[in-house]
Amino acid sequence: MPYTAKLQGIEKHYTSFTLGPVDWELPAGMIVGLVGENGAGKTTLLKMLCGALRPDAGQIALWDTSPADAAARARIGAVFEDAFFPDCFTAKQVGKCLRGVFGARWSDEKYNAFLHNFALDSGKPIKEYSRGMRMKLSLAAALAHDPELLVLDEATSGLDPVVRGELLDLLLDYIQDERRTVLLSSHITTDLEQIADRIAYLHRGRLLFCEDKDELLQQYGLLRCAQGDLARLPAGCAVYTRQGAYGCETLVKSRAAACAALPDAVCDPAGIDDIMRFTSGRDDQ
Amino acid sequence: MKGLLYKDFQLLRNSYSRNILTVLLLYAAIILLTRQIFVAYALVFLAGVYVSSTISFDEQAHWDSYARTLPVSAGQIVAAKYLLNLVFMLAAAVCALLLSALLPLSAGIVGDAAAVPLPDQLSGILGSGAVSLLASSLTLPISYKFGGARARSFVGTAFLVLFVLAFLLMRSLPAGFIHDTVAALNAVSEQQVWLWVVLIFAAVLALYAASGAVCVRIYKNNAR
Repeated sequence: MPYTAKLQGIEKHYTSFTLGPVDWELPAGMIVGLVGENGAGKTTLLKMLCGALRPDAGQIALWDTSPADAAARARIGAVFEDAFFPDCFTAKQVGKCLRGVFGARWSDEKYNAFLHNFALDSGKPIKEYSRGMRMKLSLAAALAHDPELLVLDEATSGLDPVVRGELLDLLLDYIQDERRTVLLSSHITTDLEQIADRIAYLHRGRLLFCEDKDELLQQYGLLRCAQGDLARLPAGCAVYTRQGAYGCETLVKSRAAACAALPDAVCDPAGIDDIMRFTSGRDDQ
Repeated sequence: MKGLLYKDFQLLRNSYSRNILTVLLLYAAIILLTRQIFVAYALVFLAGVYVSSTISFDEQAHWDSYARTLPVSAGQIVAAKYLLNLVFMLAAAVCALLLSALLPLSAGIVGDAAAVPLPDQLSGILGSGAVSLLASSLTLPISYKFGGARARSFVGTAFLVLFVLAFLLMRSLPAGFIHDTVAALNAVSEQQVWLWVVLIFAAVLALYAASGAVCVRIYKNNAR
């Protein structure tokens, strides 16, 4: 399988937080959803991948080079929640500036088409845009140079369902070309369940898994049974158990194995939210 | 690089176009009404302040984080700021010359007003340019290291301390010494004055280039 990026032993140290070591391979031609709690290190990881931050240890291979290489960064489109042009700029000015930065890679035609499709007034300063409009402008700016890797940090948060739907459609359209990859971090896991091919889970600076979304949702389950029944589960099947007034709820790694061991118990499919909630709870145990 | 220069130019235009127009009108009025030609030279100093302050707008928008994802090097990002500063100072120098040309017009308003000779205007502009470059050479690296607001207050305080020290020194010196020094300075030929002005400007320009190199290093380290 061709890879867009390979991370080996990536570490980033802050006073109160350490990311990594992270080993991760980002496959090409997929939408990969990156989930994790606030402060898990998602933005730091994405920024390192785009060259905005330098890792303290480890190596990042981006195609056959690294994010430190400007030619590699020319193939990336990045949308960060909190980093863009000063808000006195208009979309027209943003386009002109990026045309100068990207040179021949930049397409005015594409950029203007995005602005038109997103119904953005190119003469209006960014400060007069709504949050959704700002996000659309960031996307237009990230896509107009035809990037092969699109990195989106919390791009859908704070957007209404209609705009979110438009954005997700755009991503599905973009990924039709199999050379392209989307890495999308989001707290809105339903969006990821809708479009992602793989889900990567970053928890307290550690990458717990990066798995095929369909397999993940098919395998994991929420088992409701009496505490005493848990002993009948195969070893390693239960991830974390929560005690309730009327029994317990357990995240299991294999729904099929849990159902076979406890045929009378209820075992529903677990969503990404459930997997995150229970996995993070396991650490507090 | 072209795109970065355009970005910083637009940032100045979007943020300060009205402010700059007001300053130009105000300075023109001061020259016409008071014949204080030095305000025209102050315009060159002000140009550096405008460019340095764009870093604060960049900080607010976290532009640096975004710029690092673009296919441009740290050197290009810093060079764009330094180059724009020079271009803006040059434009301010042209404006200063135009404002100086207003001086004879004040004759009808405040009595006699002779035009300032061009060499005097140019030396005034070069002097002001040297001070502006010196200030920028300090402000820009400190801004990249500690942020724009801190840098401005640091450089402002440094200049104030320098002026206060110079003032105290002047007061503590014997009156005869100052008189003799002023007399000696007046005796210096115009050619020698020009030589000193050009030498000082060249030295400050070299310092400005060194400051740019320091900034690139700071900028690279900021990605850590």
